Amino acid sequence: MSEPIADLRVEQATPVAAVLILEGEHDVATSRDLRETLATLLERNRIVVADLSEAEFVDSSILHALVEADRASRARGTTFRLQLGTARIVHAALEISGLLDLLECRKTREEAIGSV
Amino acid sequence: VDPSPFEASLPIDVEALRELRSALRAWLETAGVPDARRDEIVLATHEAVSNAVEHAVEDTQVTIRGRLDDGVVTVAVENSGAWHDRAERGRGRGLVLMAALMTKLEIVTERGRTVVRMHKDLADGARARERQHTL
Repeated sequence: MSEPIADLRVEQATPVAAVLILEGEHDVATSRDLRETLATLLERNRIVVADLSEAEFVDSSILHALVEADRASRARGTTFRLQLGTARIVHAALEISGLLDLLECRKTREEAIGSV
Repeated sequence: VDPSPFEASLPIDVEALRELRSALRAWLETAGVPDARRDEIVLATHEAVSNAVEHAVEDTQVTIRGRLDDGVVTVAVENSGAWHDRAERGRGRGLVLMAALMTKLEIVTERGRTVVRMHKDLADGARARERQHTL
């Protein structure tokens, strides 16, 4: 299969900041992996970034997982951010569902893992 | 010349959604639908099929039909089972996406079958942008 596959990659940017990179297509078939990985990262870090800049497709189950991660992070008093710079359709999905306003969004990695 | 219609049947399995998107993208590309409109139609269709897959009666299929007539793409997603929006679980985002990405959306449930019919006027890219929803 030459189709791009959903891929999750974790980078520990600093001792307290982790970045979860979503590559390719992410949908209801892969959202459980995403939820579990985010939950683990949120337990171990002060800042967690979901980097969507290499994602080609996200569906409503992924948007839901991101909102849940944001809620969990707020409850713990930690920071959850999205890194944008995305495929147009990914940006449209975030925009239509209100996530651009609801979540902290940054355009670069530096801003996303920064403390402000 | 309008291309021949798209038709696919999927088993009740979320793993089949990726392949459907890929087939639908290929059809829309062959039909000459611009990239941005194509991605919007693929996401809206994915949401309809994904909802159908979650709620269809087991051991049935979800049928997807696509047509392009006079600059309007019509997609119909049909399954055996009621339409359940997932709003009750805080997951009504699928319906919001479909409504915003497409020009027109109808959901008809009768005699135990649900048909989601969506139209996309290919000249209607900008309007979808203006119709934003906030949950």
